[in-house]
Amino acid sequence: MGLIARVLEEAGISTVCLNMRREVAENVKPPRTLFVKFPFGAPLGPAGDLETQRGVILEALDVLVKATEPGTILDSPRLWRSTR
Amino acid sequence: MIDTEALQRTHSITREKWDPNFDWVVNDSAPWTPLRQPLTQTAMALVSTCGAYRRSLDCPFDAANYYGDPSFKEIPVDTPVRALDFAHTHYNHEHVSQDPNVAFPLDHLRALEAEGLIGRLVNPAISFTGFLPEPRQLMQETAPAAAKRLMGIGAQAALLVPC
Repeated sequence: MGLIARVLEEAGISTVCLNMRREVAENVKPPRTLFVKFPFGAPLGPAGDLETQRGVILEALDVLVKATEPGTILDSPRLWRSTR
Repeated sequence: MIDTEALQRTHSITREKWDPNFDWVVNDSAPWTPLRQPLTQTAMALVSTCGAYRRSLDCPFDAANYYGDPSFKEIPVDTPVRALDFAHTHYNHEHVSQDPNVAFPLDHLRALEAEGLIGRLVNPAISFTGFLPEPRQLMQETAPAAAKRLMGIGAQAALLVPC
């Protein structure tokens, strides 16, 4: 995911990545990353939890807007199912 | 440099099971394209690596390939999410099978577009399948082709969703 983000960014597209393995993002260095403590297979949250899914997208878009440093990684405060 | 035990473990397993030459990609810096307009005026693309494809319309990704499938598919953004299936053998499909929006959030992005929170949702969305221990073809061919396609349809930003 981070590799694709880097290619898009180099082409002139501002990117933000979701990520479930922070150490991978630290190595690959996508331009902007939101780390979520969710399991593989559910990057936006649990099935049917529309509020969490939308909230994660809005958090990611906030990183897109506010990040000023290449390689920024922000940690989402959300915990798995904690919002349900 | 592999700097954590978890990465070492994945490195060893991937070499044993799939690709004896696997190594993590490590970069010293990140590229940067500043967002040049407010989100409300931004043409936003969705790019997912969860292996989504349109049931009965697209040929599924070659998810069984040990070296992965570096190709991508174009998913029209008016596709009902219930028409999506997922070809990817390296994550639990429990959630995407119940609710494709957890990995390919077309409903949410269409809503954000309708509410004016993003300028527009770029059509089509782009779908890759993520397990790719040898990413050379992705980096040299398919990801640049996806970037060119997205630039050609006016994408200014992209939300990238892994699995």
